[in-house]
Amino acid sequence: MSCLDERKILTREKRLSTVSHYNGTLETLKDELLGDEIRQRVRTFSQTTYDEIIYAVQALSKIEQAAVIVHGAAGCAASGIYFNQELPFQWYSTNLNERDTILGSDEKLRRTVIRVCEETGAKTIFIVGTPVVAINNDDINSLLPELEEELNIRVIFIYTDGFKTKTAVNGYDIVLHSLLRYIVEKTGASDRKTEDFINVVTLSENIETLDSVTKILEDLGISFLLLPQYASIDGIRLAGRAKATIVLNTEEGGYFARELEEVFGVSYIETDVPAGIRGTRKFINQVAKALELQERAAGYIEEQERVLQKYVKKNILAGRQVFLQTGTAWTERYIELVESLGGSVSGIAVPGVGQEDRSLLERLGTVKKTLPVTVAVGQPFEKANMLAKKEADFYLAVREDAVFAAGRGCIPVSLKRTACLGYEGVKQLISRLEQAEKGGELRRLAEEKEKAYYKASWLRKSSGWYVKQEVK
Amino acid sequence: MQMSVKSPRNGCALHGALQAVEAIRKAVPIVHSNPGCAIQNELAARAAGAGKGWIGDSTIPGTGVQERHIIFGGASRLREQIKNTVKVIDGELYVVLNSCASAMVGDDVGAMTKESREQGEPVVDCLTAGFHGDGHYGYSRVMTELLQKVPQLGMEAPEKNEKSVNLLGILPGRDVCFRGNLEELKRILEGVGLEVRTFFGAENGVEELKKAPGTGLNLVFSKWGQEAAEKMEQLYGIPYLTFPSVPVGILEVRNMLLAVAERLGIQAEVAESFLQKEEERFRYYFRPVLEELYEENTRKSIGLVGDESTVTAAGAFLREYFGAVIKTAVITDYFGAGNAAEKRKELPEDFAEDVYFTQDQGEISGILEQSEIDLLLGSSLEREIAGKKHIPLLELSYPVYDKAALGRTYAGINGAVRLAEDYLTLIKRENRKKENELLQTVRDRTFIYKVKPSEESF
Repeated sequence: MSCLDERKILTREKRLSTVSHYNGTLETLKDELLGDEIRQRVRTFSQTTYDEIIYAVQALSKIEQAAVIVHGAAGCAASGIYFNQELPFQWYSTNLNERDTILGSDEKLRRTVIRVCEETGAKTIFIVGTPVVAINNDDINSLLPELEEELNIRVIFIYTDGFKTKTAVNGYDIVLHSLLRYIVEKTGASDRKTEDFINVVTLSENIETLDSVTKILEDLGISFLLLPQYASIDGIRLAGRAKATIVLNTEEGGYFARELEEVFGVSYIETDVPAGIRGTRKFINQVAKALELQERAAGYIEEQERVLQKYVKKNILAGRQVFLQTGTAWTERYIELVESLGGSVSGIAVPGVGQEDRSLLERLGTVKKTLPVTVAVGQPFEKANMLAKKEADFYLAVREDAVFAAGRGCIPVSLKRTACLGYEGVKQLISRLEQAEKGGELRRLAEEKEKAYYKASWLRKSSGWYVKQEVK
Repeated sequence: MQMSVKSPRNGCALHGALQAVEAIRKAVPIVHSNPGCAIQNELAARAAGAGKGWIGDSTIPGTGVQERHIIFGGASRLREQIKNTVKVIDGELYVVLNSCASAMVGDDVGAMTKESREQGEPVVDCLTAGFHGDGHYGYSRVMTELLQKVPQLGMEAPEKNEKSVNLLGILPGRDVCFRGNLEELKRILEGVGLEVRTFFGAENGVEELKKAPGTGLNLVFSKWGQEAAEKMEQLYGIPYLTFPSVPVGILEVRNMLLAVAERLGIQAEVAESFLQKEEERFRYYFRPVLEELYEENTRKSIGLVGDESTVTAAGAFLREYFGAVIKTAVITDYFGAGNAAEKRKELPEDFAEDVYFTQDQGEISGILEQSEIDLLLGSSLEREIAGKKHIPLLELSYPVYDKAALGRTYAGINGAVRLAEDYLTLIKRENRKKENELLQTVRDRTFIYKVKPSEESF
């Protein structure tokens, strides 16, 4: 039985035993992950962080021909202001007030859906759930079929509530689950029409990264469909016709590719992460092999690596320590990239680890046993504590904020507006590292600001002080 | 029935309160909510132009309530978070803000903060569940609560200084230029010898809150400062003066300053002497462009979209100094009882030809589409409609994308100069654009440009 038979997807904690709260060494994390039971933890002091609602809204905001209704108080849709800046999209709030929390909000949702249908011309309306609706237990499931019939439009409820999971990336899973269940055109694996393109699953990669990766695909003559980011509803519908699927970050989009293979028969090319020279080479070779383009790929790799050599030879990180914040699936290749530039990694921060990361942790935990690791989204207090104890020259943040590291004497490097993958990613990283050492006064300003937050007594404590095992 | 909102720009009560607390130096918010409630606001603020307060983004302590706290209650989680926050984060005041979820499950936030206070920790709380109202309401609530509760944390009553003022009603973040506006008003008021407390300035805001009861006069620059001012009058006997918005330009500054001087018994000569210098500065900046102001035809029909205080301040200035005709004004922070007609009466009669009250982007776009305007002043959310109408847009109300407002001000004398610069720049650009279009039209009519160049001609 496929997960897609279920209306709701289970949380990552239930499906994959994903842990989002951990602080220790790689070896202990590996031992635990490879053991019989993965223990859930909590933080008894925590800082505000992303949740599944924000991840879901972000993913939906990048889909063309869609409109998004955030079903809750107006503030639950506030992140729309941010995502709208990146790419204008149609977003609404049902704007629930106290009365709605007491008497229910079905009628308000109904009116909003009708309004959105009339105003936007969207092909699909997504309704994002919020805590108010979940706590109130509003019966949305009986409302939607009725509205779909009345309006002749697809209306999909995204089952987020903001409190059942500690893993924000669960928001992506819920969106992907809904796209697979309701949008992707259904054909049996046997009578599937195949067209000459591959799916490239992308959720959080910035446009610079996508430029870098798609340039490689274009140079190799591979037609592709990016999704769900920057895809239209019509485009997503075609995902089942692709020759194959690749995923840029398996912890975000792996579910989509696996289900697409299992249910729709689209083969999943499980590639390496195209980060660094080695990672990119392996990625290209794996894709080329699956698509029978080896000859073209060999020449391309040779040419690209020759050009890149002059950048890499600079050994820009020689003798320097780097604290690395990145996606879990990207960690191994990023450590390798730092080392290829002459540096060494003194600590890592990743957003979550679960059963599917076992082999990664087994490899890393064996080689880098004592490497400090924190598993958290955000929680800069814990990272600041780790940096206070473990020397690092650079704090390299692939996705999260970086400036807090200045408070502990590190040079912050943010890759939020930088290509993170592909050959271009290597070039841009080197350029960012070169720039990062400049602007000493700016760094001093950041250092002064960030130093003010944390008490000295906290920085002396163990960094895992507030991470406790969850009492069942 | 409260209706749905397209592209909601006002956030919720929690967000308004959070932005205010973040901006008070050495105050630390503790958000009792789902993990993402505060980040929703931080993302919006990041895009909106004003940046953050002294603490912000993922540094903000929060309980991150989970399912078990929804089912069994989250009070004990809050207790744990308060206890640990005071050990980790270096603040002088900790402000617990609750959320929809914690309000719906009935967590006793007051009891948890009281418990910590009894142990000598400077912890107060404010109930800011998002469904109670928008960000403006949140500001109003939290400032009222803080100005009531924080002074009680001090051991001694603050010294009374009759020649001091508190500035209320300028909302951090929602007023994209709040830092610059507060600094400019402070500069002006200090110019006549007053001690000025802004609460959100470079100074220690917690200390300012503690000293607030010793103030001689509260100055309220939008309706959102009214509740706090009334409470302070009731509690501490501090009178207040209300202005519809921050003053922009020498006329408005004069009116404000003379009113304050009169209430606080400042000698008229002192105020007049300062005002004369300011007036001279004001003229100094405007004299060089007076010819251009006439030449460039600044008398445009304009539309204004934003908070009441932003719209009225900018509108009054542009009308007086640029001869602008305020054709359409859309006030985006109108809530509560009373209909639009009643609300209209609170605005100056000749303020605008048509005034609307809505924050719904669909309605705003519809209103502006029908309005015959040459130029629009609003937020970045109006880009689409401005583009559709082919009219220039000056982005000055929340949210403002792609601009950084560090010390930018649209208040006082410096703000008037800035607004004039931006307005004139926009008009000049538009005039050049139109000239180029006309030039192209004229060229298209001219014989020589109609002849297509052929290879032989070279």
